[in-house]
Amino acid sequence: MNRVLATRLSRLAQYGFLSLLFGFIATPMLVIVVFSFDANRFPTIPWGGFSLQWHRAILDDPMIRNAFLNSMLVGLGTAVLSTVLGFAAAYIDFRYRFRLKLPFVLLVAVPPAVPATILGMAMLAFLSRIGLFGRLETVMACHVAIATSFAMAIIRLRLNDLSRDLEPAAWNLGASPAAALIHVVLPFCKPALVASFFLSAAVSFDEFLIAWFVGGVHETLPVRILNLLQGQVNPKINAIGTVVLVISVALVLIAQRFTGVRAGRRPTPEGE
Amino acid sequence: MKTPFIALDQLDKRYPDHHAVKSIDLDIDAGEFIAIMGPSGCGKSTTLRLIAGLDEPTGGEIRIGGDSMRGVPAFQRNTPMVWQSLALFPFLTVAENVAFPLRMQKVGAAERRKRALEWLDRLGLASMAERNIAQLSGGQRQRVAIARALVTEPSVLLLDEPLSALDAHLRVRMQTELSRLHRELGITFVYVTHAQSEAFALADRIVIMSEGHIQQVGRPQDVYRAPANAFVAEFMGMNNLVRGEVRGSRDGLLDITGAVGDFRVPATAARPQGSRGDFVIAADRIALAADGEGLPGTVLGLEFVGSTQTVFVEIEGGAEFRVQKQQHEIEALNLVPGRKVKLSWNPEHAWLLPLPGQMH
Amino acid sequence: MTAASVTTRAGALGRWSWLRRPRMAGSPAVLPSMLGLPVLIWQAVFFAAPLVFLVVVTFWQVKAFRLEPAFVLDNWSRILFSATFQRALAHTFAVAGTTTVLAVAIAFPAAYTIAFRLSPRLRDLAVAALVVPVFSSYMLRIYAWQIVLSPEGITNALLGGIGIDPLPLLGGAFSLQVGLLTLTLPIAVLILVFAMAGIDRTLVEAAENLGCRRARVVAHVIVPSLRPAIALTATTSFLLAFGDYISPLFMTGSKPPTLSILIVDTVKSGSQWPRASVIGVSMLVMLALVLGLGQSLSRGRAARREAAR
Repeated sequence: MNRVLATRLSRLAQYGFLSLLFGFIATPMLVIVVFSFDANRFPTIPWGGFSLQWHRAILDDPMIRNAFLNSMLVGLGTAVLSTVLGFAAAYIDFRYRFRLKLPFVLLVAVPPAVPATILGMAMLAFLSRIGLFGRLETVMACHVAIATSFAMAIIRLRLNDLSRDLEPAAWNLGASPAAALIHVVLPFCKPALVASFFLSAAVSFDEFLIAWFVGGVHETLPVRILNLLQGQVNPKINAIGTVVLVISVALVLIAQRFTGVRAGRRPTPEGE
Repeated sequence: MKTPFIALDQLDKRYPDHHAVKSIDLDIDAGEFIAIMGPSGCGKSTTLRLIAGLDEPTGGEIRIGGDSMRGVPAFQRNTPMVWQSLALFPFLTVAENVAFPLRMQKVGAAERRKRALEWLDRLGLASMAERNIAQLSGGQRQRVAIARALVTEPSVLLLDEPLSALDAHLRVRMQTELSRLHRELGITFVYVTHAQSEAFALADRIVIMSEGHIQQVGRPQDVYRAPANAFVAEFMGMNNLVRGEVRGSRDGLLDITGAVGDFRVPATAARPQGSRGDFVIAADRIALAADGEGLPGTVLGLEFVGSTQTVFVEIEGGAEFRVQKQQHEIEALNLVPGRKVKLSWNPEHAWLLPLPGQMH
Repeated sequence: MTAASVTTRAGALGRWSWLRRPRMAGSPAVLPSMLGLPVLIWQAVFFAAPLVFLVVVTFWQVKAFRLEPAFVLDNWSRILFSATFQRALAHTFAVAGTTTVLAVAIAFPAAYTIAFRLSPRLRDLAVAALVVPVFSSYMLRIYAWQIVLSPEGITNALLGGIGIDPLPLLGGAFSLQVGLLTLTLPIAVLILVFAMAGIDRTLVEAAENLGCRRARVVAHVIVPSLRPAIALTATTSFLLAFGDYISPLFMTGSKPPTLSILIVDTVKSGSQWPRASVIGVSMLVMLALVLGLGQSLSRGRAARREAAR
């Protein structure tokens, strides 16, 4: 009897603890969304009533509109380029052996592990000396350098499932290595390519320090928020925050939908 | 002598960690069905991959239709292969899989679909054309792989243990199918397998490989009845190897003394007195009797092999013989473990193993 | 198409090399070069070169607000011996260390529940819910904590409702850890969930059948086999907390400054690039040391087991 009770209590405590953790993770997101519809200027309790005025206000703010557009452009460019470069890097890691492979893979994999403050400062110092400071393209290029790491990881994981014989079979049936890459490897990797596209977009859409360092006057949306945050309390922030939150959560969820990686399920060696 | 269709000339393949194929020579005629057999790791699959250009030889040469394949990449050889894993493209439909080689040859969409469907029809898969690979049974996938390999109408088909993933029933049906295709198409089949039954049922000639060397090349019955050496005899499984020494010869037969007795063996080559006289006697050539003349032994045990049984007999002196018998014979002699029997055979059926280096 | 590699994976193992002469017709190196060079150039220009330049700049000089090439050790000595840097370093280590301990301590039981107690469906859902915050809106969530914890914020308003005086929640070690755990917890739990899901369940069940109580199963079966994952969780948490800029900025108002805050301040005040670079390079060196330590901790047992074979 005692044993059963103890087990029940232990389970209850475990579920309770987990709920607290998810509460901790969800609270800030909910706060942003809820208070973006609050009529009060300063977000606190009691709620000042439902209002769309701050959402309307951000639509009327040309700087925010401009920052949003910049974020979209940088995010799209990063998504495309990171996916292309990430595929190339993942395929090279998968297919070839060469002496300097480890440094090559590390060069792609490591950037997200470097604190953004340091990386941003370094990029600013170097890129301004070669005349690339203050351009939107530069922000995108730097985001690509980071996001390619995630793209490579996702695509490499998919390539693990590519049957060893599939590419040689294509060569055997008359496909040149380049044709096999296009007609066999690429279609096989399609879900991972989609996932890495959206995840790269999310990484770019969420990045603010590097964009802040190298972007100059070209603000992306997170940089706009960072600048707003450092000023006075501004009720528009919650409204922009909600927009950013919805977009980045959507991007990550779409990416996840296509990775097919689940805890506790090992990828099968034969693929589909 | 006509030139062979496929010629392997001192073909050699060395990997960093092992020497897979050791300077082998082999001529394959046009239209021949040749099976390469051997235990796993003997180099048979590597040989096939070398012919297909999927691996690069480290020595020697391959000629197909008289042309050297040196420097010709796999995708320009038109040596399609049926893979053990089948290697079908999971993201393409059945028809698209079969049409793939034509797509690589830049054949127009309508034409390649027509030809793919013709091949699917020929292999009884016409109704499956729009299916996904995942929706097919093992036997159906096998046919798709074969159709895909043949759609370009090549002059050679390579098969790498194609039937090993199928159950026994399907395997026999696919053997019949392959046999029929070979007859109808008249092209060269090079078939790698470790299964004796497949090689015997299908091949015109058999190549036995071991540790990167070719041990013997010949018709199935020759390899079985007249193995070139002890390895082939043992690999064939149903041969008993008796080691002995030549004592003399008379009436075209050699007198041989072994550890378990004296024997007479047909003299296929002159062999001086005192030289080695190892010979084999096939398990299905040995007669068993309760008494009378013959080699005395004791039944150790029995094992079912298809409709027959293998009787394991221990000879006085320690050697072990395998004898193949029908069920009714076993019952007639009441062959149970521990039973004393006499073994005998017609000396004409024994086969003297050539001395090392001496070829037939 | 003549340029082509016809090597297979097995064949390519020992032989393929960019440094060796291709043997087949055409050059087998063309395709990999076409794929690899853009990646190589991109990462070199936008990642490696900036970091190398960062190291170079630490030896340069600023004269009249202009950065000039030089080779002086002055920047290093000034920063490394400055009390501000040393205090910030100690503070940052203490903060990141605390976050690491908290993150592992909180993430472990949570990951255990997710991996061993939830149904596969709920587990997938939990994983999805954890992946989202790893890749989105960190800065916004810190801002939200500011709203929640500020003196007139939500928490104090709620507390006031039940007659408790406002608490100084924002601006201290507590709020800083809330911020850093917001950053580190999702990824910490994820790493451990994936590691635990990979544990052979039969091992756990066998131990239970042998009469091990659940707590002992955790201590003797699960923790030892998770050693590398725990080390990875710890180093990841440390890395994120050590380099973070946003939490110290918004949760403590930069007081006392962490190293990241110090970097940005140094850059802002009088373009002291070389000195900011010194701080940055020092941080990278320290992070590398911590990662190395984590590696050796996770290897410890595995290496010994390997040697025993």
